[in-house]
Amino acid sequence: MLKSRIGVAALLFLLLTGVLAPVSAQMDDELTLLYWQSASILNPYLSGGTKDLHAASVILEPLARYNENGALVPYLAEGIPTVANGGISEDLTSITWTLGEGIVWSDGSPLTSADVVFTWEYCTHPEMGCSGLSHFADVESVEALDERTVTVHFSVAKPFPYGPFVAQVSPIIQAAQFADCLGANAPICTEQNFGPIGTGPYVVEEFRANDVVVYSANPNYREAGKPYFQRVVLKGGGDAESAARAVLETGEADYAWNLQIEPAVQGNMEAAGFGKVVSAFDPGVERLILNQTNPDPDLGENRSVYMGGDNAHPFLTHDAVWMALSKAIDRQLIALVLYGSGGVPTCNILARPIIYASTANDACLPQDIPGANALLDEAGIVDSDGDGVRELDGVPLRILYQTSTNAVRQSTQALIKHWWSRIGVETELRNISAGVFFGGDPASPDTYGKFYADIEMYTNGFSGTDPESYLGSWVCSEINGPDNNWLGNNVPRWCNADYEALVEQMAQTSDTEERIDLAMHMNDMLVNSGIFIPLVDRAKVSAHANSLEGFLINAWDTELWNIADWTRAS
Amino acid sequence: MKPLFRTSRSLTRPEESGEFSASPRTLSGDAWRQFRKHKLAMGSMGVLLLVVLLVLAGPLIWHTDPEYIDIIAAYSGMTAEHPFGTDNLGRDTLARTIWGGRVSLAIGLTAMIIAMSVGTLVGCVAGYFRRLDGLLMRITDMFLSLPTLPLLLVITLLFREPLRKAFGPEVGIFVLIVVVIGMLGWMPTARLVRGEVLTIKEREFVSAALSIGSDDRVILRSHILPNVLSPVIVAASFSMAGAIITESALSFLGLGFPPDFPTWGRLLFDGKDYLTLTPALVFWPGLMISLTVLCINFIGDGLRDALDPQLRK
Amino acid sequence: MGQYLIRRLLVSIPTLLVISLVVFTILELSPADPVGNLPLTIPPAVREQIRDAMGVNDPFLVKFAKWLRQFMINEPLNIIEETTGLNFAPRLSLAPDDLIARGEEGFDSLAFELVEEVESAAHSVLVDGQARELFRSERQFFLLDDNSAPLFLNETANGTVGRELSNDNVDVPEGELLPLHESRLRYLSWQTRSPIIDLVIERTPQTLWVVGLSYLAAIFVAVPIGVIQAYRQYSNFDRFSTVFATIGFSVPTFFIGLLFIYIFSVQLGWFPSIYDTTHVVTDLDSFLFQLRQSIMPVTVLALFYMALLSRHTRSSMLENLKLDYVRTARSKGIAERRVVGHHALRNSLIPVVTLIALGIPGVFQGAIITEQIFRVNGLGQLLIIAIQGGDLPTVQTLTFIFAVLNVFFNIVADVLYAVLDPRIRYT
Repeated sequence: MLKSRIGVAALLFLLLTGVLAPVSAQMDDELTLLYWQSASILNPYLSGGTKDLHAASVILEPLARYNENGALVPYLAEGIPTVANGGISEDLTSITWTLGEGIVWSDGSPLTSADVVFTWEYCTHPEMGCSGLSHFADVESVEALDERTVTVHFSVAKPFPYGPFVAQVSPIIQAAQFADCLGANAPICTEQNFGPIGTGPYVVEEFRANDVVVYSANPNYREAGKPYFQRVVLKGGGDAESAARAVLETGEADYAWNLQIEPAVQGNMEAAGFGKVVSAFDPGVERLILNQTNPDPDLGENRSVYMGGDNAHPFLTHDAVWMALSKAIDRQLIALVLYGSGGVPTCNILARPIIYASTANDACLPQDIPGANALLDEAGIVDSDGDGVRELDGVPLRILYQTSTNAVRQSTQALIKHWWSRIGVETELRNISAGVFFGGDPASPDTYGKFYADIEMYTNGFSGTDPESYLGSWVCSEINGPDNNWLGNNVPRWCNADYEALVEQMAQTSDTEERIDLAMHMNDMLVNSGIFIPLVDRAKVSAHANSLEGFLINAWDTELWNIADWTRAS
Repeated sequence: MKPLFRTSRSLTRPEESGEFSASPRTLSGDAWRQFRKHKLAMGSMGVLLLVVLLVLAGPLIWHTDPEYIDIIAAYSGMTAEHPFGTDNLGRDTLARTIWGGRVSLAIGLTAMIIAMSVGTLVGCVAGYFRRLDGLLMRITDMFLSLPTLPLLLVITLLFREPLRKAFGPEVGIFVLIVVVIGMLGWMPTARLVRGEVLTIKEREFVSAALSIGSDDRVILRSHILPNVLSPVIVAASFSMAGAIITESALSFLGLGFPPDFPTWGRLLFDGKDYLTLTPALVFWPGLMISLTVLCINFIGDGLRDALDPQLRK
Repeated sequence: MGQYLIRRLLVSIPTLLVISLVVFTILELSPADPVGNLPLTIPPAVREQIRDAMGVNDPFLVKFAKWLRQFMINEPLNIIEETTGLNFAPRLSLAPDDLIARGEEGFDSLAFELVEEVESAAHSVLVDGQARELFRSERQFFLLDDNSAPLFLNETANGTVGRELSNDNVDVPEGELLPLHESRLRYLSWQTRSPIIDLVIERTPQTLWVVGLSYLAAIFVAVPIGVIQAYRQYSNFDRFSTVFATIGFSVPTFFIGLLFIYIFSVQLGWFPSIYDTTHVVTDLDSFLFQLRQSIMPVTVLALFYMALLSRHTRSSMLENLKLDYVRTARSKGIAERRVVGHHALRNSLIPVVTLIALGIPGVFQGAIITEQIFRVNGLGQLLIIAIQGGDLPTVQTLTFIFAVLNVFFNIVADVLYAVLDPRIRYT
C-alpha cells in the first residue's frame, strides 16, 4: 500500500516537473499570428470577411496593393497604369495592366493574363454570389492582349479605375485550379477553397476551418531570400482582450489583429514589455445615424418608411434638436477614454484619406451643454409638463438609441445618454448582437437597415482610398424600405436633390483636386443636414511583439501586406 | 419512529410552516423546530435576509445614482466616496451592486422556482404514470436539444414588442427573461426526479398505500414528492446560480435589460476586462453571487434535514 | 428488457425527426444573418446575391428537404460507401435511342434532365441495356463505351447542357476522370462552404480530450468526495467542500478561466494560454506539452462538473445512509466500508447516473466558453461561431447530433436504472 503510494507520488512529481517547465520561447523562424475571429475559408471571393481576406492575402496576390500611406504599389503588375503613362485610356473607359516578368504560381506554372481574365469570369458568374462583385462594377470585359498584358474595359468612364484586381479584396486566382469551380460549383470546391494556389510568399500547409491556418514558405516566391519566416501559424478564436494579452503580456504570439481595448487596460498590458500596440487610421467613422422617418411602433407597416415628405420624424428633423444633440456630446472624451490610440474625435463623415478631410465643421469638437440648452430654449422646445423632458409640439424628446453589442459601444451609449439627460432629452438604450444588427433578415425588427429606432450607431467607411461610391450611398434611390427589403445604402432615409446632383457631378469628374473639393463639399452637406452626428475617426489597432521587425501597419489593405519582409530581431 | 406516510403528509403543507405558535405540536411546527436547530441553515437564512435587505433598503442609505457618470473618478480603488470602487466610466460599484442585486435576486429566485416546479411536476408525473412517461420524456429530450441562443433570438423577435406594450419596457423584459430562463432550465430536474420516482415507486410504503386504495394524487403528493425533494433542493441552488449568470448572457443578444442597467451577472462580465486594473469591480458582484448561492445551498441542507422523518425525533 | 430497448430505439426515430423539424423552424425564424458579419463596405445588393447563392432565401421546405437529403441520406451513404466499398447510387435509365440520336433540340431537354439526375447521385446510365458508369472531369460528364472512349456530355456556358457523341477527338486522360458518385452533394456550411461532417470529425478529438478528460476527472474526484461528505455530514471536510463546490458553480467559467490565465500564464508563465490544436503527440516531450496545454481548460471545466456531481452524490448518499437496509446491513455485522461503499452507494447512484448520462452529450457539445477562452476550438466553439454567423446548416447539424446523443444517453440511463435497482421494471 505504502509502496504504491510512494510510486504514485514519484510519478506525479516527475510529471509536474516536466509539465511545469517554462513555456518554451518563440521559435526563431516561426511566426504566430492571433486573430480573435478565425478564418473560415481561404477563398476571398467566397467570404469577404476581413479575417478571411487577411488569411488569404499571404497566398493570393492582386496586381497592386495599397501601401501604408495609401499609395498604390505594384505586386503582380509591372507598374501602376495611369493616364500619363498610357495605361489608362484618355476617355477613362479602359485600363491596361502588364504582369511582372517571370512570376510563377507556387506550383511552378507561370502566371499569365488568362488567370486575370479567369478571375473576372469567376467572380462575375451569375450563380456565384461573389463577395468581391462590387469591385468589378461597370466592367464590360477583361481582355487578354498577350501572355502578360490584360485590359479591363468599363462600360462608363471611370475616373478611378483601380477597383478590379487591386488590394486584398480582389486578388488573382489560378485558372487551372479553379476551372471546375465556376458558378454554382464554387462552394463545392472545398479543396480549392481551402488551399488556393497563389503567388504570395506562403502556401497552405494545414487549414482547419474556423480554427487555425499553418503556412509554409513558398519555394517559388519571386523574391529570393524571402520570406524570412519559414512557418506561419495563424490561430483564431478567443477574444480581443486575450489576444492582446498573448502578445503583450505572455509573449506567446507575435501579432494580434483588430484590438479594441480600453486605453487604461492597454497601457497596463504594454507595461509588461513584450510588445506594443500600433494603429493606423482608415476611412471608418463611428457615427450616430438620425432616423429621418418616424419609427413609432403605432404606425405599423409605415414604421420607419420614407414616404416623400410625409412620415417625417416628429423631432429629429428639427434643426435645433439635432444641433443640440450634437453639441451636448464630448467627442474628445469618448475618443480619449474609450478609444485611446484607436480613434480621434471628428466632425466629418469623410475623415480619411486625410486629404479629403474637411475642416469646416470642427466647431463641433468642444462640448457645449449650456449652448445646447440655449438652442433648444430659443426654439421653444422646453419642458412644459415638468417631467424633466423637453417637448416639441407636445411630443417629448424621448429617444430609442440602438447599436451592436460591443463593450466600447455600450460605454459610448452610457456616456451619451448621460449628456443628453442634461439637455432634457431622455434616452433608452438598446444593444443587439452584431450578427442580427448588421444582418439583412427582412423579418427582424432589429437590423440597422430596418432602423426601428430614433438613433443608431455604427462605423462605416469604404475600402481603398476613393470615396466616390461611399458618398454615393445617400441618394434617394438607395433609401431603405420595404420595396428593397430594407437593403439600401441610405439608412437615414434622406432625399436631397442638391446632393443627388453632386453625386452625378462626382462621376463625371476626373481631376484629383476637383474630386477632393467636391467630396469635402458633399461631406459638409451631409453633416449639416442633421442625418449624421460623427463621433470618432477610428483606426485599425493591432499589437506586435517587440522582436518582430519590418511590420508596417496598413489601413488601406491587408495588415499582412508586407509579410514577406517581416523578420525577427536577433 | 413515526409511520412514514404520516410524517410525509405534513411535508406537503409547507404553507403551514409559518404557524409556529406555542399551541399543540403541529407537524410543520416540528419541521421548523428542526430547522432552527440547524445552525448553518439559520446563519445562512440570516445572511440571505441581510442581502435582501441590503438590495431593497440599500438605496435609502447609499444615495449615489448607479448610472451617474463621473469620468474623473474612473477606475477608482476603494475610497470613502466609492467604498467598492468605480468602473471605467466612474460609476459607483456599490450603488450598482445594490441595484443590480434587486434584479439578479428577483430573476434568480423566480426563474429557479419556475424551473423547479415544472421540473418536479414533469418528473413526478413521468415517473409515476407509465402511460405519460414516454411522451413527457420525449418532450424533455426535445427541450434539451433546442439550440438556446437561436431560440432566444426568435423569442426576442416574437415577444419583445408585445410584452413591452403590455407591461412596459422593464416589467415586460423581466417577465420574458424569467419565463425564458425558467423554461430552459427544468429538464435536468425533470429527469432527476423521474429517476428517483422510478425507485421510490417500488418501495414498500408506496405499495402499502396503494393496497389500502389510496388515490394516485394522494400517493404522489404525500409519499413520493417528499422523498424526491432532496435532489430538487440541490438542483435549486445550481439553478439559481445559473439563472443569475444566464441573465447577463441574454443582454448580449439584445434580449435582456438595457445595457446601462446593472445586474450582478452583467457587472461581473463587464468587469472581467479590468481584472488587473480594479479587481474590486469583479470582486463584489462575484462575492454577492457566491454568497447568495451558498446561503441557498445551506438553507436547502437545513430544509432537507428538517423535512426528514428519520432525523426528527 | 430487450423488447423495451427495441421499442425505445424505434420511438427515437420519429422523436428525432420531430426535434429536427422544430429546431429547423427555430433556426429559420431566427434573425441571424450569414452575411451580417461582413464589412459594411460590401453593398447590400452584393450581400443579397451572396445569400441567394448560399440558398438562404430558398423557401423553408426546400431548405428542409435539402437538409434531409444531403445530411440524412447522402452523408451516411458516403460514409458507408467509403468504408465498405459498396455502391448505392440508383441507376438512371435512358432509352437507347435517346443516347444515340443526334441533333440539338431533343438533346437539351433530355440531357438537362440527365444532369439533374446526376446531381441526385445517379452515377451510371443504362445504354442498350448495359450499365455504363458516368464520370466527371471538370464540368463535363462522360460515359465510356467498351473501348473506353468517352461519350461526351458537355455543359455549356449558359448553364444548359448540350451533348454530342464524339468518339473521335475527345482525349481525356484517365487519371482525371472521377466516378460521379464522388460528387454526391454533401451538406455544406454557409461559413466555410465545406462539408459540415468533416468539420465535426476534425474537431471531435480535441473536444473529447479536453472536455472528456475533465469529465472523467470530475467523476473520479467528485463521487468519493460526495460519499465522504455524506458519511461525515457537518464535519469540517463537509463544510469546506460545500463552500468550494458552491464557488465552483456560482463563479462563471469565463471568470475562472481568465483568473487562471492571469495567474498561470501571465504571472507564473507555467502553462500556455493558447491551445495548439495542430499539436501531435509523438513522444514523451510532446505528451508533456499536451498535458501542459490541457491543464488549465481541463481544470476549469472539472471544477464545474465536480461541484455538480459532488453535491448530488452527497445528497443522495445522505438519503440512503439513514434507510433501514443500511441499518440492517450494519447490524448484520457487514464491514462499514462495504456497507457504505457497496450497499448505500449503489442505491445512491440513480441521480448521479442521470446527471452523468445527461452530461455526456454535453461532453461532445464541448464547453463553449472554456473552449473560447483557451482557444481549444472544438465542437463548442464551432457551434457558437456558427450561431453568431447565422450558419443555419452547421447549427442544424450540430444540434441534431447533440439531440441524437441526448436521446441515446437517456436510454442508457434508463437501462442503468434497472441495473442499479432491480425493482425497476420496464414493460
